[in-house]
Amino acid sequence: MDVVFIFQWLDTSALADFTKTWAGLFAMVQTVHILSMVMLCGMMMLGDLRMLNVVLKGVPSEAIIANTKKWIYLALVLIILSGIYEASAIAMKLAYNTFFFAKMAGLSMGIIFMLSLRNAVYLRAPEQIGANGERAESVPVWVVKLVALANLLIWFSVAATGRWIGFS
Amino acid sequence: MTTNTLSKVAAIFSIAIIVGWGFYWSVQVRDTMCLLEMATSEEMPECADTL
Repeated sequence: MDVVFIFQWLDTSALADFTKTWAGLFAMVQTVHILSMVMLCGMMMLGDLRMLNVVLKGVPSEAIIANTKKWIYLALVLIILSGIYEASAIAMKLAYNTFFFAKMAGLSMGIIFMLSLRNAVYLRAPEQIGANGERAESVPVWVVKLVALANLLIWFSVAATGRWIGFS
Repeated sequence: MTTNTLSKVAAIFSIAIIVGWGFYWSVQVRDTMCLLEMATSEEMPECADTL
């Protein structure tokens, strides 16, 4: 599917004119984009590494997941808004950049994976990981750890391909 | 969705993601090594055909 027309539209939009005029603001928005990515990956890693029993072993996983959720959503909103702003400045460059599409694929996959499987599985993590009393039904430990590993790999790819855009 | 079904679906998708991730990044590393070889050698390396 040819999506170049979307980038052409973005490149000639009022937002692109604004972005290209105020170069100093671009640097600040880029900083917000990177800091949001750091916050998102940091919060994800806290939850995932807890599920892998690597960090904060004495803290119930439910407390970590519940407390990191709102920061993950806030970071996602900031990433998307600042990302659109950044993309408008270099829209035609991104239209032919393989790593930009790899990043978008990873980001989409990460969001879908988090909202569907990660959240559902972590809510039903077994007692050994959840440390919050017995449950009638829980997901096997190895499945929880598999989901944590898959999630870490997805967000590693999003961050790595994002950096690769800058070097291609 | 029952816990049993969720476990199976989560396991299948997670394994697919881990395998796919390994394949994607191994190709990226292979291509990068090939580009490095192209930059440092006088002759065109064989791997250049697959880039």
